[in-house]
Amino acid sequence: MRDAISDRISFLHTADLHLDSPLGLVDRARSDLNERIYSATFKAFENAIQLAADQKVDFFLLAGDAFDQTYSNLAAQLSIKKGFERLSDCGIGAYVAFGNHDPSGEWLKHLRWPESVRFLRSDEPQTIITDKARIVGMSHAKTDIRDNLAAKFPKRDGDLFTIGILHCNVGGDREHDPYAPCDLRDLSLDRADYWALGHIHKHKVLCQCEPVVIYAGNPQGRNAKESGARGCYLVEAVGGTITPEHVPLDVVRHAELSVSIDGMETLDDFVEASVGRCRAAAFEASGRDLICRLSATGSGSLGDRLLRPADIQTALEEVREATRHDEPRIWPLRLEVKAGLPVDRNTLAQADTFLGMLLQLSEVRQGSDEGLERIRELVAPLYNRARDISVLSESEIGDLYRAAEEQCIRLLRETTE
Amino acid sequence: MRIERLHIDSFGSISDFRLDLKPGVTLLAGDNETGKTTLLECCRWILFGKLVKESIGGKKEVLRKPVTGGGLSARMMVRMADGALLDLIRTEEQNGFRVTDEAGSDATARFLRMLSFCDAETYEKVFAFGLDELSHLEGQVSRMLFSAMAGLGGANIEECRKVLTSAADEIFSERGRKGSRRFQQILGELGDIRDRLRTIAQAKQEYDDLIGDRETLESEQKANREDAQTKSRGLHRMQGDLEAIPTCRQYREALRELECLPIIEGFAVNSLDEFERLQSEEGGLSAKILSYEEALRRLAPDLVIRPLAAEIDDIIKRNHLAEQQDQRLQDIEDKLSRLPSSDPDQADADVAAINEKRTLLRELRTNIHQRDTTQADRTRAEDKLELVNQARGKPWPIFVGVALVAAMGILFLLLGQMMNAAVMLAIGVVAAGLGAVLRAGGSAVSVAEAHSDLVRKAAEADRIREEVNMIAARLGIAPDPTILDADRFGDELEDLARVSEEAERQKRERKELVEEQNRLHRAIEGFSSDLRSLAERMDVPIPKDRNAALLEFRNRLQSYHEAVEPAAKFAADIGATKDQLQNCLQRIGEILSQAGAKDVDQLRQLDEQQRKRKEIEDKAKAFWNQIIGHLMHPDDAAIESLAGTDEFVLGSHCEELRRDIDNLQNRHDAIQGELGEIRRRIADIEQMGSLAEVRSKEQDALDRLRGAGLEWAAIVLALDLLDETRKTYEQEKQPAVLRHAGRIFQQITDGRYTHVLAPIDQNTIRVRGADDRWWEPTALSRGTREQLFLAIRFAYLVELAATQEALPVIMDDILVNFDDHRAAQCVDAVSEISQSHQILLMACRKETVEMFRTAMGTNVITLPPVTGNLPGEALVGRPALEPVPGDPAKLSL
Repeated sequence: MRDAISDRISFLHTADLHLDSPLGLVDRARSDLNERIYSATFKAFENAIQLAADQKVDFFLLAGDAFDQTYSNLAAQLSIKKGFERLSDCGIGAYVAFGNHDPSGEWLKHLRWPESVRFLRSDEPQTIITDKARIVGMSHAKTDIRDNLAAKFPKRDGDLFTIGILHCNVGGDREHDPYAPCDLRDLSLDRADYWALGHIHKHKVLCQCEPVVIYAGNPQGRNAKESGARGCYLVEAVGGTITPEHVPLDVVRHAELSVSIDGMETLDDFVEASVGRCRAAAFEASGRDLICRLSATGSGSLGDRLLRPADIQTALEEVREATRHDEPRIWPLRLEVKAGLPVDRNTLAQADTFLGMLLQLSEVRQGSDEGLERIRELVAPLYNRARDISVLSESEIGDLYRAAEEQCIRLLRETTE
Repeated sequence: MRIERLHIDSFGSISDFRLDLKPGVTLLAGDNETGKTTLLECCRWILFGKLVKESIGGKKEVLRKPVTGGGLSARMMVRMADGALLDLIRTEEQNGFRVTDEAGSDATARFLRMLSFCDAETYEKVFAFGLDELSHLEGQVSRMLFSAMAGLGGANIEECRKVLTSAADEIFSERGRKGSRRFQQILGELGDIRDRLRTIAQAKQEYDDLIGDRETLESEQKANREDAQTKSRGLHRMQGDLEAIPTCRQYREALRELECLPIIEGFAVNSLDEFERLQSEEGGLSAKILSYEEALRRLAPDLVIRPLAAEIDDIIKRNHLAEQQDQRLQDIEDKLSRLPSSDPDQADADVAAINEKRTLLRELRTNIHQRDTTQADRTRAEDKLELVNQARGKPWPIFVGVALVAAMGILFLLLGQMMNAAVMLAIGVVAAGLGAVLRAGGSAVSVAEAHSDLVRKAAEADRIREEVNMIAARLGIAPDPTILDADRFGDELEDLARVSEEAERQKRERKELVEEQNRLHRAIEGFSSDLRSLAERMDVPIPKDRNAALLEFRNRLQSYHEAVEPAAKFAADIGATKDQLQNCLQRIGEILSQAGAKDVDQLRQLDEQQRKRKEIEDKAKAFWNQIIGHLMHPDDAAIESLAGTDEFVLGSHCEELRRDIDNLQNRHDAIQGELGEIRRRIADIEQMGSLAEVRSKEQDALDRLRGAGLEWAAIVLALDLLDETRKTYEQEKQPAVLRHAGRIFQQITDGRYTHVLAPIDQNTIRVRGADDRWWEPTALSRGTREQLFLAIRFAYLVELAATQEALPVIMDDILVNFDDHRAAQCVDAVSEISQSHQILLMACRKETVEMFRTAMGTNVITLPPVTGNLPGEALVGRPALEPVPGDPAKLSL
């Protein structure tokens, strides 16, 4: 680290607020919970503002995707405006780079923003020099930027502490859209001392020093994939040392919980085990509300029952009812059944019976293009009607075969009996 | 399975009917309306409970209600392939089917499981059929032929299909009612949610537009406001101008009038008034002077003595003093006459004698005091000497001491303290001796001193006494020392002092009186001389009496004093009035000269002229004041310009401007209203709140849609797998059935047709003629077609019997459309089937009965004609026409 950094600088690095994102539908009867969940992204943002005010940071950075949808979401726009006004009252400047979800555009001009907020340009990297640091950043001009924006950042000029703000995909993360792709080599020390990145929702430190490169992650997880603590980075740079600290800001936690049905006899057993899993997860969420997706796994006699949609719904309702008065609050959002039947499919497939022939046929089909084509053909009438649901993926097709086989096994066995 | 006995309690036209059957083929012969078809239907009902049949037009009708009334009821005794004898009882009630075995146990479930490979329809189409059913096999082929024999040990593919199809249809169906399907419902919900989101998006769009509109209107409003303000100011100015026009004109007129009336420099406005006032004042002043002068003349005689007034006044005052001096002289003479001695020298000698006597007396008194003191000292010295001499001759103190000590010694003796007593006695003796010695020595010294003192004092006393006696002799007093008491001279000395002082005072008084007497005489003389002199000058005869003169003086002086003040006042008044008169005349002169007037008439003329000018000036000033109330920057040019302006033109300009302002105001109000509406709408839209809930619903609906899609896809796939597997299964299993059918058909048609085929994908069959041509069943004659279907049924029965229970086959008059040859061939085929199945045939024609009887020795039971042969008449209580083979005891129905 360069010796020239002598003043103490502190700032808050946030990204991916995705204000007003849906976190999951809550039963209207749970009036204690639905408002909290629907407003969670706002509350997490307010927490970030409060933290900035409490810590009296020098500035507030937002590395893209403040909104989930830019144009139609007025509530989110008003909320962020209010937050920035609060920062302005505290004398804290805000520097905002837009991302793929909220590319800079017309909507900005409909609101009157405090002067202390600077929205970074999208045509080229913009440099702003404050009394303590140089801030270089660039916004996305549209939703699908495929250029390497980091490579456009200018080389540093002088010894002033430099921060780069960018919404980008470093190293081609396949789980996220490949917008503004770049390489860690592009985020070099000769461009910035600290790279404040956005886009990847799981917070992580890509490089610990020279320069420090950090994804702040989103301050509020939005679905089961975004489980665990979510927040922002509170960064302090004194002398030659940069100290980033991740501070959780989320108000609702997500969890994906699997419950094995092995050895279970009744639906009550399953409900009881599920409630236990929910409560354990709620305990881990350190007092925050919990939204969980349950999945039944394993195989057993309960597998037959859980193949029936009505029984799945009943089990889910009972878990909801059992955890209704828990504090912190728990909302079991969904129950998926990945559990199998209590029979050995392979044995059935080898038998010289109608079912055996059916299972053999299923196997052959799964391994062939014709099988794939056939299934697309079969589902076309429905999928052609509903543009909202995407074409079946390979894994979904695999699941479909498994489910179809289970249906056949169950029905043929039932009618046999 | 074969039927051993049939007992119909009530079914259609049959009641309480019993029939025992043998294995193999049984033919029931009877005319029309003898109950053959009713028997067929009754058998179907007992086995499968089916009460509805489909007639040709697809119409469904309920079968055979008992003509005798009451419910259906029938019973069947069957022998199973495994040898078990089961008793089947069916009634019309719910759960009205019961099966018991020979032991009387319930075997219903077992029986139903055995029958599960076949359903009512299959039984009707394949096992128990009449002519109607025979000709309608097409369309049922696949289902009928293959589903029940899928080789699953009884599994029912059709049942699976039904369950799956129903489950799939519950989710989604290309046909059917869209709203009732789950998938469609979710799509509907999603559509509603999307509408809501669209509404919100539209609201946002509206919001953006409103913000733009607001800014446009606000800036327009600002411009309007400024414009209106400018115009209002213009209007105000113009209205002021308009109102000022008449005044301006009047003002201009006044100015012109003033030009004709020149200003006279120095002409005061009130000159004439002052002139007239001064004239009248002048007359008054002159009269006043004359009256003052007259009064002054009257006072002149009294004022003649003016130069002597002070002197007269002095004389009058001095007269008073002179009278006092006269009085004082009188008093002095009285006092002098009362004094004791008139000779002053004698008086001085008396005083000197008295003072000498006083001196001697004071000296005598002092010496007497000294004499008495020294005499007292001498007496005390003598007393002292005597005292000393007495004290030396008396020893009593020693005796007292000795006596005390002796008393102590006796006391000690009495107490027995001998030692102490002795000591005390010794001390007493010593003390007495010591005292006596000391006393004798002291007394001798004192006597010597007292004697010397006495001698000194006695000499002094003698000297003083001599002196006293000498002084007393000078005073003529007897020198007896005892009489000469010092206090006796005190009073005498005081008397002498008083006499001496009195003599001194009288001496001084006399001297003073004489001096005063001389001074007074001189003063009175001076006064008299002055009085005379004054009288002469005042021309007053010298009076004999000083007081008469003084009276005259006083009178004259009083008259003078009374006249002095008025005279002075008149004189002063005359002076002052003359000054005023002078000023008045001077001012009159000034006024005339200032006005440039020769006389008062001309002055009057000028005054009138200036007065008029003043009036006009005042008017002009009032106009000016009015004008500056209307105009902001009035000046002569502006006023001149306004005075010449046409009021009508200016008024119409005003009106025009007012209209403009009104329009602006209206526009302002309209914009204000519009802005209010826009701001309210903006606030409303801002209050719309977050999208999270709606988007959560959207997400949830999408998830459910995706889930329903996958669920449906899994079911459709399952159905597809089932069908596909069945096709394969059919391809592998079908040839045996069809080959068999082909053989039978070839046999019946006597080789005219050789093969039967059921293509997989088409739910139909085709036959191949001996000429290798393929025929659709519809292309065949009715008889031939019925023979084909019969052949297929027979082949299927045989194939099915390999794995399943062989159910009894009942055929009702199926040969009516067959020619004799083919009918005979058919009998052979039936004979073949009867090897595996019990056959029950119904026939009404004698040829048919005979054909079966001769060909295969078929057991024939003839149903007797019903009495009256009317529809609905019951076939009642007729026993079997032929004796029942076997042991009747076992068949106790």
